[in-house]
Amino acid sequence: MREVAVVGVGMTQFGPSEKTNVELFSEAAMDAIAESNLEPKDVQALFLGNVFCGFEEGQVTLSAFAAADIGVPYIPTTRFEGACASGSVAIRDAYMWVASGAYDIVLAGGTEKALAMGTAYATRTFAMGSDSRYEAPTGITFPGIFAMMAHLYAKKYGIPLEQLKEQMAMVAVKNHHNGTFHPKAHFRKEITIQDVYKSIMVADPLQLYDCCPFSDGAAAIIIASAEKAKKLTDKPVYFAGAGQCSAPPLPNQKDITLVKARQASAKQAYDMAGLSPNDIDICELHDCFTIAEIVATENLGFFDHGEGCKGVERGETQIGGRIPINPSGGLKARGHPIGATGAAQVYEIAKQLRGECGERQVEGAKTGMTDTLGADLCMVCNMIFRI
Amino acid sequence: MEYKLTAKMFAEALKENRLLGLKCNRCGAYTVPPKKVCLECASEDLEVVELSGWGQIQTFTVIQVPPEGFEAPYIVGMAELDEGPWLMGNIVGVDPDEATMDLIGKRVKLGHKIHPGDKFSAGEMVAVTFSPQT
Amino acid sequence: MAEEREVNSASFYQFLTEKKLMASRCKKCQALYLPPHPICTKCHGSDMEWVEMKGNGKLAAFTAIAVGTTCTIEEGHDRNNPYVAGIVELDEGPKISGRISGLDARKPETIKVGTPLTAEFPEQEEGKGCYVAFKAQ
Repeated sequence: MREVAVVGVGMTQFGPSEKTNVELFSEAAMDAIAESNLEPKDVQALFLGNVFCGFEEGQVTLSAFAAADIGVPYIPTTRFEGACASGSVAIRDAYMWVASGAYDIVLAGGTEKALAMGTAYATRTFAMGSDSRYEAPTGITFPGIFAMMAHLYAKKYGIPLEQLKEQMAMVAVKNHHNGTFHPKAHFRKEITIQDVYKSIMVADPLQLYDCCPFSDGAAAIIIASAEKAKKLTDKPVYFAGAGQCSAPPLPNQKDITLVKARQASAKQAYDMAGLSPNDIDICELHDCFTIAEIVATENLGFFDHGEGCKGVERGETQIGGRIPINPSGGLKARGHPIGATGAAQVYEIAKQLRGECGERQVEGAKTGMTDTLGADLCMVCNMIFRI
Repeated sequence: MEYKLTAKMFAEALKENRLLGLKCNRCGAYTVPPKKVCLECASEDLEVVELSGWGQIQTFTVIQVPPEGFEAPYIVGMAELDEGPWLMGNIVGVDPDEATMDLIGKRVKLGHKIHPGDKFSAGEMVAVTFSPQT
Repeated sequence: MAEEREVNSASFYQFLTEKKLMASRCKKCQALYLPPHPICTKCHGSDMEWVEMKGNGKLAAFTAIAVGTTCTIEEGHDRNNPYVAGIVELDEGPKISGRISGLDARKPETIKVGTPLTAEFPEQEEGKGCYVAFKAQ
C-alpha cells in the first residue's frame, strides 16, 4: 500500500442550519479543496457519509447531487452509512482506495441535518440503529443504551452511582470548556457540574447535559497519495493506520463496558501504525454521552478498565493533561451531525497536528487518533495520523 | 439452507410467553434471539429449543425521553438467561420512579408485551418483558 | 432585498412563496442555474447573483402519471384521473421540472412538446409556502 495523506480540510458551522445536506457538504468540500490548492475537477471520487437524508429531507442519492453541486457531476460517488460512524467509515474507505493506487485524490467526509427531524422523530430514527426485530419493541433509545452502560459500569467496578455521575459530569464540563475555543462548535459556553445535575433526565442515569446534541453540519477532507500531497502542501498529515470493526446486536455483546468492536478496530489501527496507546498525543473520540467518553478512553488503552473515570477526575484528559481527549469539544460541545462527525474529528486532528488550533492547541502534538462509534456499539472506526 | 427460526416464529411463540432459541449441535451454545448460524461457532447444525425463560438482570435504564410512538417513563434492561445469552426487554411490575441499582442481580421471569408498531415497523412488534420475582 | 439573500434552497422557496421564480447567475461567467446553485459548475466561481425568471417557457418533455406519490393520491389522482408532469424550457434558457396543468392527462397523445406554458405558484399544505408549477396558456 502507498503512503497517503490528508492535504486539506473543511467544516461548516455546526448547529441549527436552514441549508440542505447538499449545500452544507458543498461548502465544507469547497473549503477543503481550496485549502488543498486544488480545483473541483481534480477530485476523482467522492465518499460521503450520511445516515438519515431520506428522513431529514426526503432525499437519497445524496452523493451524486453533492458532486454536481461542486461541479464534478461525472465522477464515481458513494454514500456511506455506518450510523454515527458514517463519516469515518467513508474516510477510511477513501484512504484504502488511494493507498491501493486506484485514485490519487479523493474527497471524503459527511453531512447531516439531524435537527430537521425534531426530538421525537429523531429519537425514533436513531433507534433504528438497534435491532428492529428484537430491541426496538422495548422502546430502547440511544441514550438508553449508554445509560445501561453506565449502570453496568458502576456495578462492575463497585463505584457508587453518585460518584460516577459526578465523574461523568466532569466529562461534560471539560468538553464544553474545550468547545468555547472552537469557532465552529455547536455550543460555545462553559457549564458546571451543577448545570448537568439540574438538566432533565433523559434515560436514567443520563441527564440532558450528559448527552451530545442533535446537530446540523458537514465536514470534508481531501485525501491524496503522499507523492501528490508533497506537491500540494507543505503540511501533509499522514495516515499511520486505520481499523474498522462491527459487532452483533447489543445483548449478544454481553459486557457492554468493553465495546468489543472498538477493541478490535483499535488493535487493527495500532498494529498497522506500529504504535501503542502510549504513542498517541491527542485523541478525538466518540463522546456521544459522558459515560461513552470514559469507556472509550479505556477501550482504546489510555486507561485500565475501571480507571477512565478517575483519569477524568485527575484532569489527565484535559488540554495539557497526559492524554488530551476531545480538544475540539467533542460530540458534546462541537456537536453531532452524525454523518459528519467522523470527518469533523479528522478535521480537528489535522488542524492540531498542523498546529493551527489557537487556544485549544495541544502543544507539540505529533500523533493523533480518531474514534467513531455507531449504532448499538456495532460499528466502530479508528484512524491514526502523524506528521 | 432455510432460516430455521425466523423473527416471525420467535414473535409468535413469545406471544404465548415461550422463549424460543437455537441450540448448537456442534458446540452446545444457545443463540437467542435467533440468527442464521450459531453465534459462537457459526455452525448451521442448530436445533430450535424452548428456553426456561428465567434469568438475572444485568443492567437497566428508565427511559424518560421516548421515541415517537412510546410513552415514558418505562424501564428497559438486559438479563442474562439461565442458558447463558443476554436478552433485552422491558422490566415490568416495578414503578419506573422507584427503579434503583438494586434491580441489578434480581431473578426475573420472561413475558411479553405487544406494541402496535408504526409506519417504520413491519407490522406489530412483540417485546420481551422481565418480571422480577421476590 | 432579493440580492442579499444567500444562494440556497431555503431562499429559493422563500422567493416561491413571494411568487417569484429565481435563478442564480455566476457573476464571473454568466452561467445561469435553476434551481439555484451556490457554486458555478462551469467555472467553479461562488460569486452568484439572483435573477428573476419571467415564468414563460415551453414544454420540453412530459409524462402522464397514473400511479402517483402519496401526496398526489391524496389529491384524488389515480389510474382513472392521471396528472401531467414534465420539464419546461424557460425563455431565459434554463430547464426545470414541475407539475403541468391545463393539459388533458387522459389523452397524452394530444399533448405537444413545445406547448407554451406560464409559471404559477400553488400553495403547499398549510404553512409550508408555495411551489412552482406550470399552466398551459
